[in-house]
Amino acid sequence: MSSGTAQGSLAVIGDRESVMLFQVLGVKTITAETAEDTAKAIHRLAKAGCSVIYLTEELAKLVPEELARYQSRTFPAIIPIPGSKGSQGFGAEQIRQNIYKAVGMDLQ
Amino acid sequence: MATRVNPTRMELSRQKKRLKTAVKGHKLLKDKRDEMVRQFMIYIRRNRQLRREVEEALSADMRRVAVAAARMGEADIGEALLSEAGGSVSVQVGSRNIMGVTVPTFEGEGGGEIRELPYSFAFTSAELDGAVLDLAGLMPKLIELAQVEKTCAMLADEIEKTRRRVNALEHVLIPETKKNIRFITMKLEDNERSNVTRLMKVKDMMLKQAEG
Repeated sequence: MSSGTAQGSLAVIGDRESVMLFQVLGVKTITAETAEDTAKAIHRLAKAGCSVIYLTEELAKLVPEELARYQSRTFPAIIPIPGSKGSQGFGAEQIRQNIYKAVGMDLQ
Repeated sequence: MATRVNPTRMELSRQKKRLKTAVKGHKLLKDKRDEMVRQFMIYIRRNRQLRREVEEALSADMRRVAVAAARMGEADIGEALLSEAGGSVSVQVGSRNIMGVTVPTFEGEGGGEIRELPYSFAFTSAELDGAVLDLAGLMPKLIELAQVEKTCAMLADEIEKTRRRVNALEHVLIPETKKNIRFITMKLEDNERSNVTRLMKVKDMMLKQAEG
């Protein structure tokens, strides 16, 4: 079922405080504060063939169009993570939306 | 929705063929949808669990960084963390086919451990060390979360599309075709009857002529 694997890369986009930790681990980080910066960063990373982009929830809220655009593509996977202000339920909300889409109703 | 069809035998057989294809396609798509939903349920369960774990751990980490920042001062912590990468995280990327949907697979490598902290301990607080090490331990989960969440999102999209197709077949195309078939059969029967009556009439007239 699976085809060959290739080397992929990770990236984190977020405000300075949130991405600092990732930098220590050797993950590529990009700081962004505004919707414009975030959208630009996403496009640049996608073009560069980045396979996973972690995006802080605060920024993910600002760029719904970009998220929707890359939703149907295999790469990159854009994953919201809690930023320095903690989790605000954006990720859980996305899961709920996916369930709604798939099942046609809201479970639980 | 009143599509006019020619009441001919050729059209009738064409419509019948169409109905057969539509019914077969409907059954196949319905099976596909059911199986995809089943797969989706498995993934979404894992997705939910992973996300809860990751969010908890990551939020805790961020809080520790905030504490460290308060102790050390914003500038120092930035300096320590931005110094240089202590570990390296890379990921093996592949793709998998689930019911015709190409989903990615990510396999983290070298993310699980971090050999040494890249900054000097002199000016940093213990919270920071803990946070960095915790995050390093969290990386495999983060990578798995990426894979599972992307899979769920793509499956959800595809399920939605398939469900639309199933509904379109079930509620539009199949009833429409059935209606057409009934219309043609009735029309043909009607023609047949009028033909018979015409023949009977002609026969009557001919008999009367022969007698008279």
